[in-house]
Amino acid sequence: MMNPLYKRLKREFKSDIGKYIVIFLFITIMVGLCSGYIVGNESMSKSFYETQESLNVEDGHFEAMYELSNSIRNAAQDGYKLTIYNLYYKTIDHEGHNIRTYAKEDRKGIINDYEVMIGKEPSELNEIALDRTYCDANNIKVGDKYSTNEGDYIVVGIVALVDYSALFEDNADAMMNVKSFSIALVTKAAFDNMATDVNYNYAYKFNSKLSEDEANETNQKLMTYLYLMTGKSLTSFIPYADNQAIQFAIVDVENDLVFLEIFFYLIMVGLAFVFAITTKNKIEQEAKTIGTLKAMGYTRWNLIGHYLLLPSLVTLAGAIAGNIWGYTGFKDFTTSLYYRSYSFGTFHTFFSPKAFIMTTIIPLVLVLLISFIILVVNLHAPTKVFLQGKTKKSRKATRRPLPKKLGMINKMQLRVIAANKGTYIAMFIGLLFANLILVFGLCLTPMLENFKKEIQTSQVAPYEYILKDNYLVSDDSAEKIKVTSLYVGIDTVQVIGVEKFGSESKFLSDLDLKPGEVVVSKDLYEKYNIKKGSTFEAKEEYSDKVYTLKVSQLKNQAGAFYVYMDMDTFKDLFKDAQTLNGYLSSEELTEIPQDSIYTVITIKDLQAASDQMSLSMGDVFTLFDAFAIILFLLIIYLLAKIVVEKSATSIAMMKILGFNPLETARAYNLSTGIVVAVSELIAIPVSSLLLSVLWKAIMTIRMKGWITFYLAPWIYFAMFGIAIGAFLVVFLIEYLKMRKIPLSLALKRE
Amino acid sequence: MEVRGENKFIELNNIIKTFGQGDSKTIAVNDISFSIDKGEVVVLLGPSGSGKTTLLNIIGGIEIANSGKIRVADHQVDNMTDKNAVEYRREHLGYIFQSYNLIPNLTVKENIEIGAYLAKNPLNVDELLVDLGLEKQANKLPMFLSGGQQQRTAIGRAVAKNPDLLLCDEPTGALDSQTSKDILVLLEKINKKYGTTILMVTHNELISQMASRIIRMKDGQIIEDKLNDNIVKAEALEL
Repeated sequence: MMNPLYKRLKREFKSDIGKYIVIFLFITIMVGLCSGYIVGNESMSKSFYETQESLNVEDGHFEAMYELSNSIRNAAQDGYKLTIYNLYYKTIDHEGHNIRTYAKEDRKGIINDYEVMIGKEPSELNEIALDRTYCDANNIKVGDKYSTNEGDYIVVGIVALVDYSALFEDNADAMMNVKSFSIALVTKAAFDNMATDVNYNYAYKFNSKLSEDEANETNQKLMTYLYLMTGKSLTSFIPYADNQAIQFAIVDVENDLVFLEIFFYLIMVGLAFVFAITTKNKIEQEAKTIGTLKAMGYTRWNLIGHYLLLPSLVTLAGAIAGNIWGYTGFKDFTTSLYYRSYSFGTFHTFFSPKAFIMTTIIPLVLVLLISFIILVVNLHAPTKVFLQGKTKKSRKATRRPLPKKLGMINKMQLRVIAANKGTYIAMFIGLLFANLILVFGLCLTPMLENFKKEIQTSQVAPYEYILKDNYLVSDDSAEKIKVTSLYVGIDTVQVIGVEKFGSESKFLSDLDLKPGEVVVSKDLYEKYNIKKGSTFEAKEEYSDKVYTLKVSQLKNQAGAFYVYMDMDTFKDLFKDAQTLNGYLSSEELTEIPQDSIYTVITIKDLQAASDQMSLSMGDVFTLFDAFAIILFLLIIYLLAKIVVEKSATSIAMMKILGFNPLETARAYNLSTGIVVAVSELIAIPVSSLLLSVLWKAIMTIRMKGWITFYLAPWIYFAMFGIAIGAFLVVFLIEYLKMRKIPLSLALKRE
Repeated sequence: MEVRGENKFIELNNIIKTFGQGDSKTIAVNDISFSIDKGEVVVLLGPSGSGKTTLLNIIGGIEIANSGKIRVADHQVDNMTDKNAVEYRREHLGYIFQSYNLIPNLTVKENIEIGAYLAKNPLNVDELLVDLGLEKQANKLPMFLSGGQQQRTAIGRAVAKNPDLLLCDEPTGALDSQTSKDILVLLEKINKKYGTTILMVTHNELISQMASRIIRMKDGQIIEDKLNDNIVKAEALEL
């Protein structure tokens, strides 16, 4: 015979439909979001690697100031068993945008091939194809006229290049730049027609597949060989594994998954916690029924099975519904986020067993396990205790009297809080988590704004010139510098030797340089925890040479990693290394011939990172905010509901006594409000602190560059306001429900 | 000298209350009319299902009659808005139930205080605790009290606001005879000390002997309404 208790399930579901709908929706949203994200993410990742293979991506590339001679090329090809391909480009200008233009014939079917996403390949002299993410960010469509310093073109195609899934103009950049940098393809004839100087860029591919270690070794040898053979004119050497334009997107995609998994498990633990509280509440509500059933001979295991069934079914239903939504709807949202930032090729959906296990099996097991533990612990008391309407033997009979000055309603609020402390602790933990998500969602935009502001205030000079040669500027106001690059951790650091500093310098008056010692900029000392008086190590880019630098001063300069030293120290330290000359200037130095300029850094370049971050993650921020607000509502609603349900008879009694609805609501609902407010006062600083730690960890481990953690003051108020707003919505719902509690509830004889 | 019927505090006219519809329709209260003077102790006596609790709840504004008129003090109870019902209960009523219905997370004293909180001229809670013999239990939670102590707390809560009318629904139904007697003595004392009108529902013939008037009900109707000429003091009741 079927356990007759199962007949209660349908009725129980109906009687508590509000709670079950809330939990069902919560699981559906969570699972949908995560399964959609995982499926989108994994499919994107799989498609990426397939494309890398089919479009013959490079094993590395390098750039030299001058054309590579045949003898050097042949020796490198033979010596290291690889093929070198010419992948020359010319940087043309479109309204201040740097457009790195290649001849399509150098790529098609040869190396670093491309996909035409919309339109066609260029076939005429005036036709151009541009990167898809750049076109999206600048609202450029096929058929548009595209004016450049090389004349007008017609955009005939929108393309995705296999070696540019992320638009990094320079491999040392902190972030890609889809707004003002793009890759373009033109015909070979159009390319040759351009007057702009050519950049001698070469891609190489090993003749056979090498292991990671073999590839690293070969890369190192090739780099040293080229560096020496080109007379130190090698301006960049980027192996496949270090190429941000290729790796950044896929690392981002794969890292997102790690973060999402952590996020998901935290939510699931939070949810299991909510389940535990609601299950415990259910047992407390049904204590007398449980006592009666136990007295009749039902075992603890019969009851555990009974009370486990409904939460498990609701979880399963939520997980199924969530997966359906994730696979059909949300997946497209995820992929659209990636497509907005990255230039991926065509994407195919793959079924993800991981998504199924993670979003269906694990939540179910987690809910079952937590509920099971709670049931085992709470159904342990003797039958007599349950028959008395309790779930455990009470220990303390008396309560400390509350101060006489307190009003009756305040006394009731305090007693309600004390009686529901378990529920409220659960609410606090839930709110802490919701705050963490909310503060993350809210803080990013102002943080990027602050970053921009910091850059503006700490820019050394409006124009920072790096030259290819030793051109001497006649303008006395320009200050001479020498520059080289070193690695600190995962970041490229600009080491600057200066002739003028302190009172002698217009741009570096705050520097107090001592011979043999250095000054480090804010991003560098914050990220790598460098202290004044300490030393740190910096590695040369193209060799194993390591420099130990002693810090004499910390410079409050954001936006990039800089190390300053006096010119003598610089020359002494880098006499054998590749260095470049440059100038700091408040005016544009028009006298310098274009041929001599390697690069000019202006504030616009420094701001590109934050612009890009805003652009690529805007929707994610909104999603975080929306999810946090939903979480606030759900947690407060669910737990406020439990408090009201537990007190339903007392509420009915209060109404009979003559308390008006507002007084009753103040006693029972406002106590939840007090807990929400107090929880927020604790959770806001705690979640902010947690996020700052998390932020530093993400920036240090995962990201090149540095953005100082900054929480705009209004965020604290917004967080508090949102939590209180969520409470007020719940207050209204519970107030209306409370009004409907029948007075007859207090009349029922037990 | 006061003449009975001249000081009507409660007045019921042709009260009808039904539950359910069609075949399952039950007439709980069938065309009942009577009045109660201020300060009277009236017992509604009858077996289970006779309609006495329903009638008590109609007078208390908890149930609404299908038809008929009820006036209590200056309140027309049969035609009240929710707001008026709250005011009516707040100003005039004290309620005592068989199952006590104390607020479990408030101490004994705080349970009584919530009654006092509602009144314009409440009784002194500390004095009341002494009167109720609960001074030593003042800071205990209800679940640690005996049934008699819980019921005394419930009486304290009802009385603390100094109500005009005390509605008691089987107040001793869950108690042993000695504790029941203690409770009834307490109610008698309250009636004498504060002049509180008491309307008590019971199925116990013996309890009715302490009332000044006994209204006997059966199947939703009054079958007898008589003054009790031989009032027995609660203390002398042989329960």
